[in-house]
Amino acid sequence: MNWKQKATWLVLVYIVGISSAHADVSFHGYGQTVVGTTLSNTRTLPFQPYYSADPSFQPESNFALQASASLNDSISAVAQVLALGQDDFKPKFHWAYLKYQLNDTFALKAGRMQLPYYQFSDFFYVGEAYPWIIPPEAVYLSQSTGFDGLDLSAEQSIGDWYLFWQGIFGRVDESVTVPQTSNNPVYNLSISERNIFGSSLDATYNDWLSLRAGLFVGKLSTLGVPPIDQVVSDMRSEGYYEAAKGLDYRDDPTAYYTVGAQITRNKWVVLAEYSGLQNINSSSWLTSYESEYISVGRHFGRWLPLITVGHRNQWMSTEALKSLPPNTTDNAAGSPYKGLFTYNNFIINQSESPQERAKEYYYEMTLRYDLTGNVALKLDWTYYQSKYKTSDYTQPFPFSFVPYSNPSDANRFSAAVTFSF
Amino acid sequence: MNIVQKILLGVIALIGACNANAGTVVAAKDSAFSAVDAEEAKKIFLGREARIAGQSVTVIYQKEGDTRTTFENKVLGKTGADLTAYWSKLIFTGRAQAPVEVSGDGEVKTKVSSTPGAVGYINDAAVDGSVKVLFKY
Repeated sequence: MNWKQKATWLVLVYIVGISSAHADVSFHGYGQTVVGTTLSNTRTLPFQPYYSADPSFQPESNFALQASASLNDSISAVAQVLALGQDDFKPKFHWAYLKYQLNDTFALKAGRMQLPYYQFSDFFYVGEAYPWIIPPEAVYLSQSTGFDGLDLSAEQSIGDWYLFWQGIFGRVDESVTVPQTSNNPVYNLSISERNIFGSSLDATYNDWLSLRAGLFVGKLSTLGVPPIDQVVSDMRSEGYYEAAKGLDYRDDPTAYYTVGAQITRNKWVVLAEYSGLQNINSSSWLTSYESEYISVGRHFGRWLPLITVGHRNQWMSTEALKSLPPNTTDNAAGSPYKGLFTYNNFIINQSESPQERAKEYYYEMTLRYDLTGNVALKLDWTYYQSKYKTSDYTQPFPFSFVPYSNPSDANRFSAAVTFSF
Repeated sequence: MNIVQKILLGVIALIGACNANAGTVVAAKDSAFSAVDAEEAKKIFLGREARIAGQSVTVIYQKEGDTRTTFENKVLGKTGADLTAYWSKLIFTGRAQAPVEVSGDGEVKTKVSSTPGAVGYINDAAVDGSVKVLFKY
């Protein structure tokens, strides 16, 4: 156990210890145990949760404990520790903040929180809160992202509408491990994104219709991909400043946007979302995404069968690489591009089109059974398919996580027990 | 009284019984909160009113049982897993404090009397001088 894990447990023990003396501390939690498998080890889904043909309980299982304390009439503190199976159940602070209720309408939070990019982002791991085992992967490919900063919120009822507005500002620092795929070796990414700001608005009408819109912008500081960083550094030292500038992703702003809707009426449930992650700099080589899903289900007593169709379109611009000097296929020792080619055997064809496109499709059938008010059983079958626009490209673009064999597909089956208390 | 009159009286009594309020939303006897209507009661018990008249609100639910089921059906329009899903989103993102859960009408009255800003619900028969009536459902 490293020092961060020890500190996490010590904080929890302290909170439990003071709860006996301070009656305003309350404890709640949630979790899920999930087992899943794909039908093949070579045909798997490209993003988390990572399953193989050996059934595993780790990728989607989780457990969280939250302590909330009222310090006075206006100030409260919350600490939520989450242990993810995909992270060997190491406990980490998922939320840890102070909240100040400014007045009847406005509240300010400061500390560690989760980015509310999309409809289910900030409660992504709370299985009790939605019908699927995890929110649709067409949109939620990066799962949940924590940030350190400020969150200002306001809530107001106007007639039959209830409005909740939220604005955030802060910074992201996270480590992501991407397992080996057909295109790439294992990546351990240390992603830092600074000056993230944005806001969202949720509007609920008579409790059966919810609408949401959100827009957030952030700038990458580090991506932690050694070949790219080394190549950029080598280009600068060789005097290729324009090429280095084109390949350097730092300070490229990225926009996250979403519109979504939820309808629950006459036992029918409809959930839909359209979202995107787009590089504002059109010549940036970082991947942009545009995705949507729609889920339709109906309650039959405690049973809720649901069908979900999702689609994601991703593209990259190779304009930055077109700014490279000639002889980019030079893989000789001393070449400033050697690091890039060694990693991926990538050969740039200067005549290739500037946009690379991959399309991904998710078809999902889910069945939820509410055993009690706070325990649910879920079954899921997901069929995934991806297609590259191969007329433009003869080689996979480096750092693209979509399986390149065209088309590629995978089947995943999973079962879950979710609970909250 | 003839048979027709007796039947009519019986029907009137039956109608009256069907329309009888099932429960009452209450606060402390000296609470600053004033009477609310159905919509306001629903907002309070769905965590949408963090503060009323400058006072932070503590919501008291009863534990699973007939009283709670009746309250959820008549006032909230949500029950069981739907209500759990609703509160999970609020609690685990810090948008609202989780309701305090107590057992029975007696504990509700004790809690609202001892906790500033607390509101709860009890059966009509349990209403007495120790609580203020905010809404009958």
